[in-house]
Amino acid sequence: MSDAPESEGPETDRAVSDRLDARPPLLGSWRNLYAVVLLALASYIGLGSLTTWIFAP
Amino acid sequence: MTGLDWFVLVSTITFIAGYGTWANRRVQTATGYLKGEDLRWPTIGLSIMATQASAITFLSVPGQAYEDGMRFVQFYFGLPIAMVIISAVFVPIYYRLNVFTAYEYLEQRFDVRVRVLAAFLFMVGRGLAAGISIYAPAIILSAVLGWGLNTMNLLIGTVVIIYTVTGGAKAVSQTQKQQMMVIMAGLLIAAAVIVSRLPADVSLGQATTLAGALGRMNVIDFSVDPNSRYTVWSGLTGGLFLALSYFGTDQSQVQRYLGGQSVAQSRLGLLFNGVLKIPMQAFILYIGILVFVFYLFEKPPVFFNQAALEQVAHTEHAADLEALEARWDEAFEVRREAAAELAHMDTEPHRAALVAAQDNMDALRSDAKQLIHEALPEVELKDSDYIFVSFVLKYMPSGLVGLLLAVILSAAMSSTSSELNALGSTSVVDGYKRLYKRDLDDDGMVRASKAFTVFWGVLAMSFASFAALLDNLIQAVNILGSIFYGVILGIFLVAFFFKRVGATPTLIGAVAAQAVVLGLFFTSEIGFLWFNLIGCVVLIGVALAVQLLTGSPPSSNSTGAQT
Repeated sequence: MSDAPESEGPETDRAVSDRLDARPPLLGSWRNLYAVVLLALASYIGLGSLTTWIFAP
Repeated sequence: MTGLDWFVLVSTITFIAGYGTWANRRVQTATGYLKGEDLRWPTIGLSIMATQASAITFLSVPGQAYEDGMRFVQFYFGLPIAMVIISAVFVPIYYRLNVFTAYEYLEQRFDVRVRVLAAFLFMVGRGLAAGISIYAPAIILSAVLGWGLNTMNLLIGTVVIIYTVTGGAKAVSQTQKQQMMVIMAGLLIAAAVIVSRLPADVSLGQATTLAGALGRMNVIDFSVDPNSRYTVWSGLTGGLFLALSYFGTDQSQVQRYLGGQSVAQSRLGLLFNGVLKIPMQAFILYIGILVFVFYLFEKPPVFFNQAALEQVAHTEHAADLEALEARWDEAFEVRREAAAELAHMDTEPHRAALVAAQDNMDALRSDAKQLIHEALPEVELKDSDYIFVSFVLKYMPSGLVGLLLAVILSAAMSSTSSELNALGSTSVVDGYKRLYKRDLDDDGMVRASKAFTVFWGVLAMSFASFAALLDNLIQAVNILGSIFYGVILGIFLVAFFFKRVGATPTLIGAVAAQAVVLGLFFTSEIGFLWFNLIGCVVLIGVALAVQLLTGSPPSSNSTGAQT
């Protein structure tokens, strides 16, 4: 069994890489999450257009 | 203000500031003090929103909707795109290099000259803005509450300095979370109260129809008319550049997400802001629309700065004002009847009658402003910042007035604390430690940061106190900010995306871009918001050209950008 204590020295490249590449908790990848944010923007513009069309034709 | 209002106001502000001070009194590591440690995404997201939402947001935005409708929301359409770009590009770089300030990265990418230049430009712009963050709400609240301007300045400034100096970035983020909750709760309750105060036979749909008939529901404008300030296109371009420079390179925002537990938490905090900012702004604007509809049935004052009106009543123009107010009363009755008719029968003639009645009232308001200008030339004629706060004081029930004043003061404190915190950190990390005291240890950095935070806080309060002596100061500071922002963003974009461009071409580009922006400022009529885009584009173009012509390799380490 190799239960050697972890080094308390500088963060290893692997650890930095893991920290930077952490997946988002939802949707599998950051790219998907970014797409959702941009879709939200598109839906706001759509909703705004609909509001303008209904109330200020 | 009743006793209950005072109780709600004082206890809310005291609890938030007291808790922030007490809970973070032992934060003494440089990382905890300068960045905040292990923050999770809800705290980061709310902190980012609270930093941007200053008191003037809650004073101005409803008034803006009252006067001009909902279209201002388009100004924020570039923000979600900026959040995605910052999450994907900026955040991993800042984390990989484990920096305290955004400008620290510039030395690793270019050299110390570029770092100090960007930090200096930030401190000039943000240092002045911190004074305005205190002054702008103080001038309005002192007018409506009858308190002295310096008392308001001192109250806001001192409370902020105490908890910001005690707990640093961690205290700022924690208090901002609570301040944002007070702000959101206050706004939701305010909207519910305004709706309940509309006439019983006017539904929310009818209220919105009335606002639409008077041009207040033009949310989206796809036109390419350059004279139209707020369109989808200006939001997606100018708004994107402004949001990129503000959230990506302004230390008062960068510091909010640098203290995240991980890159993922920081990204989620930014994206949280990207999704929620537009609905939040739309909601605040809609509150202004509801106030507008409320005043279709309840007589509004002819000028919303009541203190100025009372002053005119003691001048030789008092009789003219009285006559004008009598005409105003008659015009209001005509408009009220037209609004009631349109609410129950939406026909073209009813719409035309309401529009004509509104035009008549708009003309009388212009006459009133002209009269006030003749009587009191020094009074600011733009009274839209007073619309919401005067409504709150006159029509909100007891207790809620205190809560909404707590909302405004919380917003003032949340943005000011971020600014002072960032100014203190930048002064130490990019100035004092880098240029004079390179062997400064952890304790020394915390002590120096506290001293610089106090220095910037006192400077901001002094500036706020003298601000009243200068004309058009707020606009002057906004222009000053826009003049520098484009250049700072340009430096960062070269650093991130043009890895072959070195320090000297970037510095030459910065000087050229700053000269172009200043030249345009003094010789053209271009709106100052466009300086962000122009400064940025000129800097990138010149830096690329110089790099290409000289062909010299980058003069400093460029590995910082390789992520």
